[in-house]
Amino acid sequence: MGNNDFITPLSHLGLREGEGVAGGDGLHLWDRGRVGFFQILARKGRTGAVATALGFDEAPRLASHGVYGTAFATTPGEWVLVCNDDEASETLRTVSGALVGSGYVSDQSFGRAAFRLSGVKARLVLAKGCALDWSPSVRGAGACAQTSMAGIGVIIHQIDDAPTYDLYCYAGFADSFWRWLICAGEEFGVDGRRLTKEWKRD
Amino acid sequence: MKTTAYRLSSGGAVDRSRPLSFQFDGAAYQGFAGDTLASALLANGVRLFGRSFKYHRPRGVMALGSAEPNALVELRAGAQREPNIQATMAELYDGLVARSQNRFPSLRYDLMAANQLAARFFVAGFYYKTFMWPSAFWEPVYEKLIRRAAGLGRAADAGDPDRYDHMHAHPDVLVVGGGPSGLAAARAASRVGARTMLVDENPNLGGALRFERTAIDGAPGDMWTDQITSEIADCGNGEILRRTTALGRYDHNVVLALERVSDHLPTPEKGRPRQRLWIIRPKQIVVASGAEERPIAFADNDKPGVMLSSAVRGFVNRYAVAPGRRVAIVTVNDDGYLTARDLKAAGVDVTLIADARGRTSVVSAELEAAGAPVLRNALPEQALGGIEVSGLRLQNAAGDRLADHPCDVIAVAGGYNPRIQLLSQSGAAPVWREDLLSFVPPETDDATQVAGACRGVYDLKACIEDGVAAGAEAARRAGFTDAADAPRPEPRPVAAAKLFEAPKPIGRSRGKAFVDFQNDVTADDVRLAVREGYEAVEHLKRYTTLGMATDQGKLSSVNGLAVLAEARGKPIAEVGTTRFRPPYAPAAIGAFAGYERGETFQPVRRTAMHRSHEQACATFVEAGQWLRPRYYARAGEDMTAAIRREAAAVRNTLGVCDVSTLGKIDVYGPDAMEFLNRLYINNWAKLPVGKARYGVMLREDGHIFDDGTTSRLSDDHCFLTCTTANAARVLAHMEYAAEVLFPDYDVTFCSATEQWCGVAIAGPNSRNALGKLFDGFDVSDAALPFMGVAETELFGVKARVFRISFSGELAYEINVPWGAGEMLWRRLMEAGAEFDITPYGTEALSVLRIEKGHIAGPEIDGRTTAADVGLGRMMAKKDFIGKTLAARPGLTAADRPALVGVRPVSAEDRLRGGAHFVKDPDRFEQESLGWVSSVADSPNVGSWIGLGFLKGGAARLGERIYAAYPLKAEMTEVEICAPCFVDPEGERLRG
Repeated sequence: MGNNDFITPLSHLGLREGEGVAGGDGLHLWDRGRVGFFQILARKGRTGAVATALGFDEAPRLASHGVYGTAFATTPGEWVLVCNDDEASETLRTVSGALVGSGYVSDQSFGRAAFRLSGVKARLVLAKGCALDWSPSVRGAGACAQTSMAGIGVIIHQIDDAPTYDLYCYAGFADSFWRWLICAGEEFGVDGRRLTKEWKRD
Repeated sequence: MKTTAYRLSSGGAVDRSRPLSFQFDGAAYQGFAGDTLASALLANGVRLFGRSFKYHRPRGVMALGSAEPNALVELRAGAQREPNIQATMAELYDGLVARSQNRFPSLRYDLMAANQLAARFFVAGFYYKTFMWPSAFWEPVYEKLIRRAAGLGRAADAGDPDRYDHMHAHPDVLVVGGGPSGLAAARAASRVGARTMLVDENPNLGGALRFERTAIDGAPGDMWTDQITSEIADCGNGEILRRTTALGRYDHNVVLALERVSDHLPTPEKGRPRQRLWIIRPKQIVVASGAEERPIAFADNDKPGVMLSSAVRGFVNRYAVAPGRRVAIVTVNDDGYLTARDLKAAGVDVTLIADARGRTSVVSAELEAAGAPVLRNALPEQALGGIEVSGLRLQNAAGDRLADHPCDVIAVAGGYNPRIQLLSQSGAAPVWREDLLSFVPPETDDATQVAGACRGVYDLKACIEDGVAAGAEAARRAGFTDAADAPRPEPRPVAAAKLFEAPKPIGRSRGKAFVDFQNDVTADDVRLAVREGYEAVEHLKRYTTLGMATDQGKLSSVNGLAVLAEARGKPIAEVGTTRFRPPYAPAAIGAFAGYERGETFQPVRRTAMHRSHEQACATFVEAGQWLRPRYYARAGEDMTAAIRREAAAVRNTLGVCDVSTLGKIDVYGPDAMEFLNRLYINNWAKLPVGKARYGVMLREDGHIFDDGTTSRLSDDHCFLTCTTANAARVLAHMEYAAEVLFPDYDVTFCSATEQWCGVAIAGPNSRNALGKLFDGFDVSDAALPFMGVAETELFGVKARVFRISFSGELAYEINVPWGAGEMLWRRLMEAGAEFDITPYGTEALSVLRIEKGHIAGPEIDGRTTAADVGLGRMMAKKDFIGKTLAARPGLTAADRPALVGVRPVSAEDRLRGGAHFVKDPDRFEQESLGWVSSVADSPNVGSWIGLGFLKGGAARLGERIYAAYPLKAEMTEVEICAPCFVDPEGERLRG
């Protein structure tokens, strides 16, 4: 991985990896480029063993942070594990080793797009497309959810109380999702014209 | 510029230092910041605002806010033109352009007003009666006439250029209405820590206080409002949405509210929506929506100049506008006296107070003592005048005519209707209270409080107390147990005369007494409906249109029901009300669509090679949410030519197709193969590692569900593919099977659709191209035989090569991770250049598979079985999902249509998908023997070819029958053949 000739889900827009846009009112939003993204699947009856082996929490709604990265429980016996791109190969190798006999890992790092949304207005941008309640009294740092935004399946992870959110969707939806994010952020000063300019539908 | 003759020199909340220019019907006027279009026009002496829906009667302003039935105008121009905007809700801005509606050639001289001459034919239900015969006239004549006459205003011709969005909110307590009760409730809830959201449809909070001179604790109402508002806003957990109307309340207390973010501005600010739809899911809701004054039905009570008493008072107090020079007040209660008092204080001449009551009250006695011109036992008979009011005709209680009274405004105080619409929408039937002469909300549920005038509490002090108690109760129920318990004040009986409809005019009169102004429904219409049997309240509504459109019973409901009750000889309580419907007030359709319109109607999925397809001039087609290349036209080529070229290239040399959209699922576990054995109809247990197999899945009911190729990558890892369209459904089907049907299987799986992108390379030169693409990877038939699978590396990442074919040619599918997709495409084009590699789209793909008789969506349409499509022999003896029901008599009957090939007898004829097989060429109406499912214009066969389902199937090969296509009046002679047109022995495939 890390081959520069490979595209990211938004490279057709000319975005440099990690490039984003700052709105007024303390809103930042950017494309994180590639991240390590792994689906962890426990074998029948081995959920506890996998959780122990990888240091995962079995409870939904809260992310668990372990040596291998950040994990979100998505279904009983299933987690999504994310880490930085430069750690992905190593993570895949070690996690595969740790899971022998108890579970499987499916590498989905290329199949997902990762976005980050931060600042006091980030919550309002989320509220435009996500029906879940992200108020501080309900969800705080560490909260995660698998839901739908703007008609697109997403995983949302609140990483701090700024608040900052990491959002993951399928790579194929990245262009649509990015355009939606930019549009939702325009009210708060995001100028996305350059960041969405290549749009063309035949 | 016309003078603002009716603007008072002082008072009101308009900002006289900020004059604003605007236009109405082309004439220029001036108003002030803080005006509505209605108040600004009244200030300029304009009283005629529009023409009514049915009779084109002249109409003016009647109410103050969103209950206004008459003063509907077109606002803005061009693509932003919007009809039926209530002038009372349109905030004035500099440069506003408005136009009256439903008139020709002008508002004052409207030719369509001739409808009034024929008014006796235009009674309730007139078109049900009038346009009955001759029945042949209905569609070509009558319907066109009615459609032309119906409707109000003109929609814009161009697409709506504005932006709309949605916002979700989850307050602990939602308060609807920012009047005294609502403000008190919101403060009470927010101060104990409940996240509180207050919505109010006006630009300023205060509700009725805005229109009154009432003081609270010695301070003006606005000061109290400001004080409470800042307490709510500053407490850290209160949110106030102005210009936001709660449109509807649904199950589980979900409330939809419309925020008019930019309607008060000439154009929305950059990035801001015009309107925003809020989807609010509160734990508790406090409905404090107040009450609406109701009119009284009397002859010509719709003339411009007849207004609600509260509206007259409000225009004077809030906007410093005198609606006229001589105001006569008609009242059933003390409200008319309050209007008289405020008008007098503002220097407006009140010439008469006609009180329907015989007795005095404290308020009336006080005013009378101060010299107010009161006439007791006086009932309105008719509004006099031409286009506008010039006088009031009265009767006394004994039915004697009194002297006509000259005036230019008739202020009508008919009592109050609580605004119960939101509560009624979700099904709670309102309760009639004779002591309040109005419907009030019923006992509400655990998550709903009603406060203030909305439940018949009209006294200001009591309204505030009620709000405090309701807000605290809502907060407590939302879990904020510190909220103090407070007593709820009870509504006090109203001291009012019971008058909904005045007595008929004495002698001959053509005057109409309206109960529903917006829909031109008169009291006589209601009685006629009852005579004709439409007695039930819901029938009455539909027959007469009473309470329809934006009115939704706001002004019309109680008077209409009172007339109905009297006509049926029953009390109002027994007649009941209709159920009010959302939206409470008009909303732009755009607000409901939000972002989901035009290009962004739904999200799209792009494959990793999307940009390569764009560069190759692909025309895309939406396949599910995916954008797939349909064909790649070269310069001067049309679609047909492009498809023929692409399909021929695959057979002759080499083609490449993006197949990334196929559903892909990683299946893991020791029981993976056994699990596949249950999913598919054929045997999987012995599939070796490194091999792929084609499989068919059934639904539990025995019909084909999906098909695809699955490969075994290791002992406990399979890679399953399914059709693009069914990808999500297949995954869900597998989850159901693993969780419910086979819970003991040690198997687990996840989608891998987007991790891998794929191309198919097909054609006699595909192996050559593959060899050039890969270094040191053996692509020989021995190393990678038909249905072989190999894992290797390409560009330094994992790649998979599958020797499978949908086209029937020597073909491979190559999968690489998403990020390497564009590079794979580029390198393949380079490697295949010497073989004239040709990208092909879904159309050519379809031609190729039809030539081979491979089934796809049209053959797996949910109604066919494996046997129907010729795959019956694949069904193994083992158990699999759908096996039992696939054996039922209906699915195994000998006469079921079965898959056949079809070609036109005359090579020039074309085939059409959806055509039916028939015997007789001379008529379309006859027994169908089956249908044509897929067709292709095959360059390799040299004619149209098709697949279809025919009774008798394979037994009829060689028969000549007809394909009937009535939509185009085509009857084509066809020959039935085997469903394979190219290389029936499969030699190319295995070459």
